[in-house]
Amino acid sequence: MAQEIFEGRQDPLALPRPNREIQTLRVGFQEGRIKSIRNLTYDTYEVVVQCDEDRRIGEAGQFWTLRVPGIRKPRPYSFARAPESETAGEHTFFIRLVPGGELSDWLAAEDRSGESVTLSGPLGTFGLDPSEEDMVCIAGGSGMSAVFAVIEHAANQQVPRNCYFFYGARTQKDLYLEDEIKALQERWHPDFKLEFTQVLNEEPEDSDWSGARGLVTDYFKSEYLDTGKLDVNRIKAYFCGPPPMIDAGIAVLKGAGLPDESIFYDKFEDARSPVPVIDNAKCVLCDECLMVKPVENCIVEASRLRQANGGSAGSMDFEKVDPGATAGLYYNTLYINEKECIRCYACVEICPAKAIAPDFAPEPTTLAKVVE
Amino acid sequence: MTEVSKIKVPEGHSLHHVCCPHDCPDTCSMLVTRDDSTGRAVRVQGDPTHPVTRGYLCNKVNHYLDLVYNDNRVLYPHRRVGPKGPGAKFERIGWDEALDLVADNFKQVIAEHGSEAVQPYSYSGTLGMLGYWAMDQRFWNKMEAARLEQSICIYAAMWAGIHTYGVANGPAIHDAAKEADLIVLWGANLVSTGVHAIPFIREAQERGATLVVIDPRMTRTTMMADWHIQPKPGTDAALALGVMKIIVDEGLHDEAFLREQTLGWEDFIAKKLPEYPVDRVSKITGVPEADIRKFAMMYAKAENSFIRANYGLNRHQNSGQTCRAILVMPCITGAWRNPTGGAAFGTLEEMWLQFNLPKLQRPDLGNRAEKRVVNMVQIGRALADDIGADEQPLDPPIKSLFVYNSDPANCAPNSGNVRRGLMRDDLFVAVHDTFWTDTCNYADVVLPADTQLERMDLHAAYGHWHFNLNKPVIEPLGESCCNTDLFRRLAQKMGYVEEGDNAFTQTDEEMIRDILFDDEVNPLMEGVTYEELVKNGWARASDNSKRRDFLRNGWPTASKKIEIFSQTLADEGQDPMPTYNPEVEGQEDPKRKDYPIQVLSSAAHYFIGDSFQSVPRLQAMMSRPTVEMSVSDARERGIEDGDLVRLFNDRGETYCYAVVIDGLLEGVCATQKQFKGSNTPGGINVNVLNSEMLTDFGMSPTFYSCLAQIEKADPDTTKKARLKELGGAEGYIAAWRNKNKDAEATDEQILEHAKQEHPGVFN
Repeated sequence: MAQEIFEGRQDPLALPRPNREIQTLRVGFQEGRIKSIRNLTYDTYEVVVQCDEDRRIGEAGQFWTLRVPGIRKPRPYSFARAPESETAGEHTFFIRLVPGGELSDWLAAEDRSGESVTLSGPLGTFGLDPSEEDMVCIAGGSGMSAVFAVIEHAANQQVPRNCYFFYGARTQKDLYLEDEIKALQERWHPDFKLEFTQVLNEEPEDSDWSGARGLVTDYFKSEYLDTGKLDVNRIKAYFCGPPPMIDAGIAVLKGAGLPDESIFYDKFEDARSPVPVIDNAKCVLCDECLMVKPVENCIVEASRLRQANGGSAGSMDFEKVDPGATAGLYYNTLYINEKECIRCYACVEICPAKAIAPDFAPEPTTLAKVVE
Repeated sequence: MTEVSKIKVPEGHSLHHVCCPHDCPDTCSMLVTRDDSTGRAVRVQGDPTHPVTRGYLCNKVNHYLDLVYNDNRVLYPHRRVGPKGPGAKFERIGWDEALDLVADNFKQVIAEHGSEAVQPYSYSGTLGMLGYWAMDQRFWNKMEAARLEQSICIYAAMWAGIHTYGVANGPAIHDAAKEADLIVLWGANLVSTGVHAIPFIREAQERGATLVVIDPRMTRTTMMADWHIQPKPGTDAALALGVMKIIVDEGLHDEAFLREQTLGWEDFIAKKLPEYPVDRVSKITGVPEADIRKFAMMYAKAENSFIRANYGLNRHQNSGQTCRAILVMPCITGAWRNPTGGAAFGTLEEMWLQFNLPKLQRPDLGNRAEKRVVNMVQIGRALADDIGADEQPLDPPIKSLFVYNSDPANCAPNSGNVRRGLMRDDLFVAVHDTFWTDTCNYADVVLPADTQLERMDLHAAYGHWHFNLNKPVIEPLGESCCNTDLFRRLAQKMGYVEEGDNAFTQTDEEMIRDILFDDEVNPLMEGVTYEELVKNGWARASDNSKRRDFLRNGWPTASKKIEIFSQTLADEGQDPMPTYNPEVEGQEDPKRKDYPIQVLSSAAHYFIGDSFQSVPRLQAMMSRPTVEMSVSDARERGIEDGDLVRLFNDRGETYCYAVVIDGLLEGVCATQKQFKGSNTPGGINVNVLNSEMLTDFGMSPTFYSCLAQIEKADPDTTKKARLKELGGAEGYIAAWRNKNKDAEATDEQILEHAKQEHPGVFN
């Protein structure tokens, strides 16, 4: 019996062999070019990408990753408009310059209109919830994008909800998009209101600013919660922006009694954010994370993990699975490659086993321990 | 449902409800996106509204599109040209010709040998009510073909349950975990074989519940347990009985429950349990006495305990009794008092057996009930040795075998015998399958089957309380066709279509609407409507029906009680009380002197039985059959991790790559069930080692009652196997060029490289 099999089959029609490449895909990719760039503030651009295909998929609140020529890693950017409000084939993003950021530097260097761009996505679970409770939106920095898209979507839907939108910034020169928000206020559901408040925390005391001052989350707490203007049991909160602002905001709202399930947020991580780690003792190898990976090798199938030689404490090395000769799940693990991870955290959100988080210790635990 | 409607698809695309058809307790609700301009399915995802699926799929079904659009699919009817067996060649023919070949064979066999010489063979390639057992059964009933005992998977556990509780199941783990303070997974590696339970269990653990996993193996599931108990395989009944004895001795049993709800409890406590003192149980199971006591106390004192057993337990020779012993445990503690407590393998009996099956399968079309039976577990000896289920000679022998939803060359036990039988010159074999399975090598005619995206069906989960309706998303690929259509076409050819009887003319939708939605027959269908299923894709069964309040109404058994004592079993010559009998070909069998290793062949993480082995990614993640070995067994044999080893006994031999597992029990090894033989070094999988012996009751296979010896493979075999994995010199060169696209090298130079990289393989 054995002999005939080892010799292999003569006729490919008899039993065609599947190829042995590892492949997986759920994220969509599309090509386009930069149609326009305009300054929103001194450090934030609005970038409109025109794609060849009209694929208005995804939800307000989700993000695409952008990859541009000459830049190794793509970066995640939220939709800055509700997808249904975009012109066919177009996608709008707000890109804030981050000192030392690869894509920032590229964008700031010269006029990039007409440059080609690859998008992958859409990813992320942030977005409008279906309830009819009042919306409290708090955004900072380029977190304006996702919140603006959600609010625009709500306006398009004529949702019967009040919306309180607080935008936190340092000084007046960080403010933008007032006209567009005014336009949304005008077409908001007539029986409800869209309130927009800008809160500045570093505006010089002697300036002409007559608006709100302080940290946006503190302002919201003292003016709206402490005064009883809003009831925590009857609101949904949306946060978008830098992680410290979101953490502070969540602490305020939870302290006031808002339950977890009423808080939605999208932390704008950047290259300095920690890499998420897959805890192999929790991972069920369901491949859901692979389905949403926006770049090819951010999550890899590893057959061996080990401490990296000369790397920092906790830094790991891995061997990729050999598709021709793998022993199944005993060694195989899914591993997030720090060098390729773009900090989009799509895998963290999607993991049904809650096995991916930035604060897990990278442990090379596998089922089989190789015996020396 | 708001959440589904929230999922937007691109312009020109549409979203469809699909049900995963595979043999798994999770029966997932899937959402499939179709590009309407091309008619191709482009995306598969878990349904976020389904209470068990909860928006994600497993590692198998996440790659479902790679299964649908797969180079290894049979897309057209084929006829074999040349000899049968591995390497067989086929040519494409038309459907009409193919159906004529099959029907003419049927007619000729029936004329010469009678209808009993035609043997259908099918199992769980799809679990849809139509695809699994509907139009095909009408066809065989009309023909009066030989019957098939479809006992290859769950029968021992099923009959253990029916003999104890009747057709009555405990809660689903997804519901139980929400309330339980103690979850026991008994022989259940749910990370690999029912992953949707895992987040529920994790949530329970986070809430403070304890998870105990009882399994002789080390698995991803035992890794997440608060406590892993490792009894020797096949000794679980002794463990269960020993635990119950301790509980009774401590006075922690619920006597009121036993008195009100059970039959035979007095004798069970007075006569049966005393046979299982903890020292004896410890000796049998290998579990330390203190651990048995600790587990007994933990189980007795839990406020709300739930045992989820799984079907590996019912693949041992003594498994009928084993399953019964485990299933009666909640009677001792009264855990059944709690609506989410108790013990269950799943929900199969109630979910499947309460449909209006006579209307679905039409036994009135013929007199098949009196025709002979072949047990699908024993197809080897039925084909090779002409022996029937009743040990009587098959006269006439099987002359025509029709295989669908199954790959017996890989899946049936004693597969050397199966393949010898399939090689018989006087046997006609037709196979209807989605893929070129190894069984196709023995077929005269191969017919193309479809996938779940191409057909309609109704699904009843066997691991929870939900129904799913599956409607086709894409046109059948090539000329493939679903099971119901196949048998409608065959019925035409056989002249079975009669005026005034719609047996072979009913549409799939008519069968589902008319027959399956019959809540007079099926209490679980109360309030479930076809329209609800169309709208949402799924519906919860009415598991809260008053008709299934067993504690109040009595149990669906002869005595209306839970039968700890079963007269039916007594009449069959079985011990009427749950008991432990040492397993034949198990830990206590004297045969261990020659064959000291008990071979378990469990489900692989990357496949569902025979299915999914043609999906490139999954095959890449598990391209070799492996055998888990204990450190001491490996060391004793000079076997190191990664070595090719030979497993053998008197029935045959197979090859696997060793994985040395620190913590696996000595004298036990574990490999994958149904690994594709043609991807196995040596061409035949582990089923070549096991026997066609049946379980104590339930007529189930004894895949795990299998003793063998293991040795390191000889260097020549290792070399050949490795060479095959690398695709030979040709494959290596192609792969090298593909990987090093810019490099310039001659074939000779690349081969030189190969010799250095794989010493001993290419020279």
